[in-house]
Amino acid sequence: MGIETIGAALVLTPEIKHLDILSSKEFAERFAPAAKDARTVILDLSQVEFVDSSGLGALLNLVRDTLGRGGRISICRPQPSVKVLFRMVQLSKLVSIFDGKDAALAWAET
Amino acid sequence: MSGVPPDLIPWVPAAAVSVSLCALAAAAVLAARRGPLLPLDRPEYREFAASLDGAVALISGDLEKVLYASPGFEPLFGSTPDRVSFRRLEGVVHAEDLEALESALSAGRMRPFEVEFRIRSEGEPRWLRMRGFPVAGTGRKAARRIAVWVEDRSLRKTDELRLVEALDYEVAVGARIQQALLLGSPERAYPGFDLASMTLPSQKIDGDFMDFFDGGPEVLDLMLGDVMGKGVPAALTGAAACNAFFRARLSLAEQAGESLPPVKDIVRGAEERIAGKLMDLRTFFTLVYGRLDGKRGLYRYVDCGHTSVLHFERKTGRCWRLKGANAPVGFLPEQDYVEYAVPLSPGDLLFLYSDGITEAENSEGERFGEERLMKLVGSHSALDAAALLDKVKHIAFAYAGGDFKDDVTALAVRVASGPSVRTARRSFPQSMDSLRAVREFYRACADRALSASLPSEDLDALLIATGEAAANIFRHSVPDRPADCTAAFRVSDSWAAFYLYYRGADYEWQEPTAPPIESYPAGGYGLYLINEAMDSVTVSPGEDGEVRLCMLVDLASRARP
Repeated sequence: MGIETIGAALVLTPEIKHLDILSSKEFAERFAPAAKDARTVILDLSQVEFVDSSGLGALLNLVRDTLGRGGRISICRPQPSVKVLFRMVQLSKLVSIFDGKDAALAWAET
Repeated sequence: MSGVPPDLIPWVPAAAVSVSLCALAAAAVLAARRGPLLPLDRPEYREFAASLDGAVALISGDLEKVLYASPGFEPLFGSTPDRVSFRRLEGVVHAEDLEALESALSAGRMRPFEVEFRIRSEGEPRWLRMRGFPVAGTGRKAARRIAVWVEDRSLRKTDELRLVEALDYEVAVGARIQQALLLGSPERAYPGFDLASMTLPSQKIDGDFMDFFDGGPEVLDLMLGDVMGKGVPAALTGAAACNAFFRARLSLAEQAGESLPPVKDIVRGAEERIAGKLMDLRTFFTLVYGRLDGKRGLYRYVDCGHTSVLHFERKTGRCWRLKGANAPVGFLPEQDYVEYAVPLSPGDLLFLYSDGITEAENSEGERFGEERLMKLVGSHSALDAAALLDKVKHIAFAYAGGDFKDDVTALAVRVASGPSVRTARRSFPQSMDSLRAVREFYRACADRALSASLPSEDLDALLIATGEAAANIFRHSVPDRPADCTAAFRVSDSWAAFYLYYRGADYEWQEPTAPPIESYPAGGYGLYLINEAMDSVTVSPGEDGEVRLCMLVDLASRARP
């Protein structure tokens, strides 16, 4: 699970292929504490090939926590299958989703 | 009432005559024991006694003599009391009623009785009703005697018999009307199906209805319904329901042109024509409307609270209950109808039935039940449709002791042919540890069979849905002991189906509404994703805790522009 600060953003990069019911707890335990003080968070999902509804729930918890304390959060580089899931649940109504990491970093600087 | 002796039983209105007559009988008994309290044989009471609609008598314990009789006795028996012996009734009482009367009288010294019998007379025999009461005799060695009240029931009996005849006639006519108007049959044979139906009428007119609509060379629509209640109102409602479906189908066919109107549109069209009226009349009907498509090898259906359709699946050798989500028609002004589809293969069997079979009770009040019916259908699945119905009829009939409380209506369809289908299946331990392996199995199947016919986004959505389904099952259905589940994939030119056979709970899968993403809840997306991605999802309980999940993709409809 990669955690790094790039410019104004805390970039979280889950190094897992499946964000699902089997891994969502580990995801939450790793990233929730790391992001708890960050004002701007970018979730880089480039290594995640599959997200199920449990994984989506873990992502949404992170989004809710960040927004709830007045921070900002976006998602970048989702793989095609993950983009399909996000489209099905209309996640873009809640979070900015960028195909490229540079676009996300640019968003973080605004 | 002035001038009436104080020991005389007061006069009462006609409606209470039977009460007063019983009292008279008691008075006669008392007269025999303690002297005449009511001397009906005296001239001053003769007119009163003669006016009574019946007769009171006191019979000796050995039935030999009539010790006392009121004036009404002679007209009833056609003989004076001293010439009547209740020990020798041959020739006096109708032969068919002799045993019942003798039996009642012989027991009458010990307990009250009531018996009806015919007495021979000139012309038509007269129907008499006798009520008897044991009474003690007078004196130390007194034998028991029988006080009886006898009345002429001929006129009432004739009316009753006429009523029975009328009711029998009504039932017979009703059954014929039901057969003619409510229980249709296919207009022709279908090469892809062996189809048979049966109806066993109960003793009452019922509201079962069944109809068939020809949908083209290899397509047949069939519906089976059951109106709440019984009798002529239920039958009339059933006829109205058939009419509503006929009109809905006709109207939609005109709009649809050459293509067939979807099953759920037909049900909705019928609902528009009849649901409001049913609600006004406070009645409703259950229904399953299905479409057999022999060319595509599909059975589509809408279920409105009817009994499950049993699907015997030859490949697994198991029976599954096809259920739906809709309420009976007439429960609600309108509802969103959910249409389901399951693949059929040659050798498969569909069994549609009314609850008259499953609710048939044996002598101990135990119902025949759906489990028993499933085992019965499954164990005789090699029979042709008519022979299977015959087998079910005989076994259910014997179970119910020949007495069905409801009509029994059933329909069997054996699939004779179908499209070319490719199949893959693999077993896995039924646990969350198998989740990713099951997902990989479905992905490999779909990549191989569907990547050329579906956009990649659709394919991804299907695999998200299959993963959700597997996760749901592994989370909610944990077997008591280690067990395997089986994932299967079947694909034809016009559909693909992802199956999971498992042991577990039959919990509610329907989740038609999207979770409110704006409030970003952390859960509740799984069932929504499955229903969004798939064209039909059926969860069918089988026998002994087995469940079949079938998620179907209608490739033909997705290929349309």
